[in-house]
Amino acid sequence: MMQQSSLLNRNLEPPTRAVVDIGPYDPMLPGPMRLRLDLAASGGAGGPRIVGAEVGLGYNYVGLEAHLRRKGVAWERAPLLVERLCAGCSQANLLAYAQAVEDMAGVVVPPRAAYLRLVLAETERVTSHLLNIAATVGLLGMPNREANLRDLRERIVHTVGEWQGARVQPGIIIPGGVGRDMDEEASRRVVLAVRAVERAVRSHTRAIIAGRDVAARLAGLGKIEAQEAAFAGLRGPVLRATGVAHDIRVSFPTGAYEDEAVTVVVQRTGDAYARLVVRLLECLESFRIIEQALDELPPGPIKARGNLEARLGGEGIGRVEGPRGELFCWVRGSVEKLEGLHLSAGSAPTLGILPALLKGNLDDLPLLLLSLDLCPACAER
Amino acid sequence: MTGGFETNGGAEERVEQQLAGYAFVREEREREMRLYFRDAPAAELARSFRASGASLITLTGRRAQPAPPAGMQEPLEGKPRKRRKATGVEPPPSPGELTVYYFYALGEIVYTVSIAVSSGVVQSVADIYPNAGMPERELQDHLGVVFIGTEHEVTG
Repeated sequence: MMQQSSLLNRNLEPPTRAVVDIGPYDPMLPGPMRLRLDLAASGGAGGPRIVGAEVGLGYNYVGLEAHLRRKGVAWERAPLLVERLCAGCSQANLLAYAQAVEDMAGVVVPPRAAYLRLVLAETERVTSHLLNIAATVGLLGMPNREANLRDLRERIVHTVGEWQGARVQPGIIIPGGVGRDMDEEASRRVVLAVRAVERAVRSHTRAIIAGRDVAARLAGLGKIEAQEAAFAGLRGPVLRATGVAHDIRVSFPTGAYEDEAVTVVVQRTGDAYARLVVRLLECLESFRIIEQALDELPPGPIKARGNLEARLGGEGIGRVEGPRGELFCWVRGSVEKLEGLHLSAGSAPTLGILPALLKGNLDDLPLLLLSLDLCPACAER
Repeated sequence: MTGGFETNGGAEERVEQQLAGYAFVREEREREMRLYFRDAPAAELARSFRASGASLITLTGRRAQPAPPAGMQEPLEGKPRKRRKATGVEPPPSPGELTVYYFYALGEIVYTVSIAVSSGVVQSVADIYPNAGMPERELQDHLGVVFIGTEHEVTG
């Protein structure tokens, strides 16, 4: 008698529960991390639902803070190490570090340097937001809009890179000021690029907000209530999308932000659509701030006078509104070297509550992760 | 504003009244208040800050390094720098002693609360401020701090 194939004996009933591991390296993930998803069949026409999730971090760990606690590092080397923790938030990380060192030393940055720092910080916010928005509309099936947004971002990166001397991580921000001045020609080029990109982004913003397709797909996705967001300590666009008007540029202004009025962009619904709209409108606000800062760029030195190195020692803090939210830096050191550093990234609190946020349709997972704009590199120093 | 960022008038005074039950050293800076405690209950302090509408920015810690024996100091590169006169009032920790730093934001002021812990066991504040969970786990891994009263408590 012919033996029956094991294929024929297979139980064809789909499993009702499954555990799926994603990562640590997956194009869908914002960085190296592991997601263990507990999936359950939805029972109807819809796909499986995520009913439980575990998040595994540590794949990006560089051990900078641990190294500094044990051995310390010379003050001259520290800015390089801090800037290279993350590509997307490098200027915000470095600015928070520089502010902490200046707080420790009691140094006041010259106005021109403060304005140039503002230009760097706002440029980084725009490029980070545009990258996130482009990836989101790409996932929504709008490849032309995605390509155009990536081109616009590229124009900003290229123009500012010409002044900086490098596209990313130029190492311009240093404790006590900035390492490179901006001449009139460079300023004019940046203003022209910002004006052109601002017009195009405004057009995209109108189209995205007026069109029903984006709202229909993103509304209600990954909804966070304002009370939950504030209780969990969320920051940045994720927090502001819930209706909480919290922005370090306004609540704790430092440097040129003390002079420049910043409008805090807020949405109320707390979902992925609100987060997208917040990022779009924040780009427009950043363009205005950059143009105004370059228009009012004060003359003068770009480095603080006096010997900063002789005043090092003790502790200091720095707070910066990075692209993903508040970046907090604490430093501790002696005259000789930096002996302690702690950087708290904007998306770190969001990573902490990620398992709860992931519950929902499996199909929505890529869009949900994009809308949260997580950065494991910043969270694991 | 909404959520946990509401600070009514006099919030700074209220939080200091609530902290008055514990002995601490206070150092005022331009937009920062440094409070130094020894073996104070971290969770009680966190509740006082939460009640005042403060948010926890983050927390970190360090272990005081034992001083190298005389003659074993590493030589400095270049000309030795002039040492600045110490202005802080923080009591010096004993070698190996653990200090946990909590950073609270209340209005425009950052409260840096440093708690010297002689036992190495600290109350967790993750139930009061959920964003403390991740940095507490980091400190547990890196410095061997034991956080009690939370799900990532290490026992045995």
